Amino acid sequence: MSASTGLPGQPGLDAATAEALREILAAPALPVGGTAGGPDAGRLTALREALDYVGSRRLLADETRPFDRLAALAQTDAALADSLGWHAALTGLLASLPAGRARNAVLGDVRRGALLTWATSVSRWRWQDDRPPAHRAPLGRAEAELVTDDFPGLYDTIVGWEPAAAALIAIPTHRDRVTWAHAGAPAPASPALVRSPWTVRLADVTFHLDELIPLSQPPSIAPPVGRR
Amino acid sequence: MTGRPAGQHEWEATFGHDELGRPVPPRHHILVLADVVGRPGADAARQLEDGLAGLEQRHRHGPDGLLSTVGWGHAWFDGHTAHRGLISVPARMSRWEDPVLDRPDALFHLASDHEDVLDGTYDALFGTAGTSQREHLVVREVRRGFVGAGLPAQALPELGIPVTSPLLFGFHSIHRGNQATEASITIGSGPLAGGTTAHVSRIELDVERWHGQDRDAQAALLYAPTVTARQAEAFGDDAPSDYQRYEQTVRAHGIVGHAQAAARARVNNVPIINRRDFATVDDGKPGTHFVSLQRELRDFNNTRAIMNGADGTGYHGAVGTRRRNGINAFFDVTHRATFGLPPRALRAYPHRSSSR
Repeated sequence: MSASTGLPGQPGLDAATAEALREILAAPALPVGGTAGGPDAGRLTALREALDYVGSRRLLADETRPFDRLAALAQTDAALADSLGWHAALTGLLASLPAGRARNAVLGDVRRGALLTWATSVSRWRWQDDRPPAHRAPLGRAEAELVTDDFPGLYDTIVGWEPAAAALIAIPTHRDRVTWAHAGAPAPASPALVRSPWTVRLADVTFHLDELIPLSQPPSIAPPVGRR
Repeated sequence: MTGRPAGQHEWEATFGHDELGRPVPPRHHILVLADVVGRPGADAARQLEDGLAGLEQRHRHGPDGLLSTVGWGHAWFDGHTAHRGLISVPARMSRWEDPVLDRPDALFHLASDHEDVLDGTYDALFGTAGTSQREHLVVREVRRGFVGAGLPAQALPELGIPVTSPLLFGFHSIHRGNQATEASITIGSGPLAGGTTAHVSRIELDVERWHGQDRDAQAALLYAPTVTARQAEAFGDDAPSDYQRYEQTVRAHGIVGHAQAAARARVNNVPIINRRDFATVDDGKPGTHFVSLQRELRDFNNTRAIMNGADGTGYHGAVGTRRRNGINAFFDVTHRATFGLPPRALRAYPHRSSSR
């Protein structure tokens, strides 16, 4: 199945896909318990279902033109596209890096529909015994606290900068002992784009060396337009 | 011992059958999630086994008496035995769920047609009686529910659930041949030889929205879009959801049928999980306590992953990960937990380490 995300040079989704997304955003199939919770639950519920659809249809799976795809989505719904700004920026960054197992693995997941977000800050990161994963001991365990600027459950992977290992680290949101909680009041960007920061906690979470993408310095990654 | 089967999970020989030959499980159930206090030794094990055996002598084996299993979670095996990692921790199983991942030491599943038998059993094990296990087990949570014709309609009369239905969605889900057999889920070797594994979920159901649909729309989502409600009501044997034609059916109808999607997890058309689920209105929230038994926990994980129907969106643009995709739009998993069910002879604090 090829994703019908619009023809090259012609931004925009095909009519059926755009209609499906509009229907989801207008009338999401509400999860009974509203698990995201909080005052933002309604927005997150709709966004989560729409992003599930985006991921499963692989609408942002082409790392060679991430911002074109984002522009196509924006024509259908600006808030939906805004929620994927970090995904597009990170996909572009990863595509520009030299090939390697960790970088290729994340991009491989993206091609299968995975969605990324960025850890806007990392307030604490400690490796067990101060040993990040290395070739001789490729597994490491981390205690950490970081922040994302929207609900982490919207995404498959949080990418962050880990200075001790001098690497980007890919944190799967479904990994054992990764939890999150509201970090504070919503930070309004515009009436339609209300987001809340979330604190993500890692409690003795296991990582493999192949989840660290070596970089000589912190990445220069531009925040999405709606988030500046 | 009391002449009961070696496997705690061996219940089905005692089940009755309805007029279509469908198995009829016990009508009332209690799940007790408990944590261990201190480091139980041989005396504690003897006390628990004596308590359970006494109840089994008091009540016959079957729905008319008492059926039970005692499971042990990874917290028990990792913290009290040499079998670290024997039971994997529960995990989130779809992108849209945020369940509490419960990690109790033990799970008691008690079932009977008679609520008073369950109440008496609970009191005997966790009350103030001399048989109480409270010295070594503290109750973390009690979950209750029911399954059986008429009980859902009685619990939620405003929904118009058919009185013939054993579950809140208004249809039967257990048919002849759509369950893994107890023999096939019995573990053959290792620390749990003769036992099995259990995955226990608390699921909330949006029953009002579900019952706002007509019966044929429900049948399409629950079984397959080619199945009518009248046909579904008449299923006695394994629902012919025609799962080999899943892709073509979704393409043609723009609807994923839950049973059709989930049946793809079978191996050579043989089911790999044995369901012991029951309905609930605990905390005023209609739902299901989904108890699934399987030889390996990954059999449940595989079934759940395939049931998600995540590929449905690729066959028809109208299908979403939740909308028009089985029952995905109507339930929310709020809790998950995993357990090993040892054979009956080892059910009391199994494999405890004496050196710790």
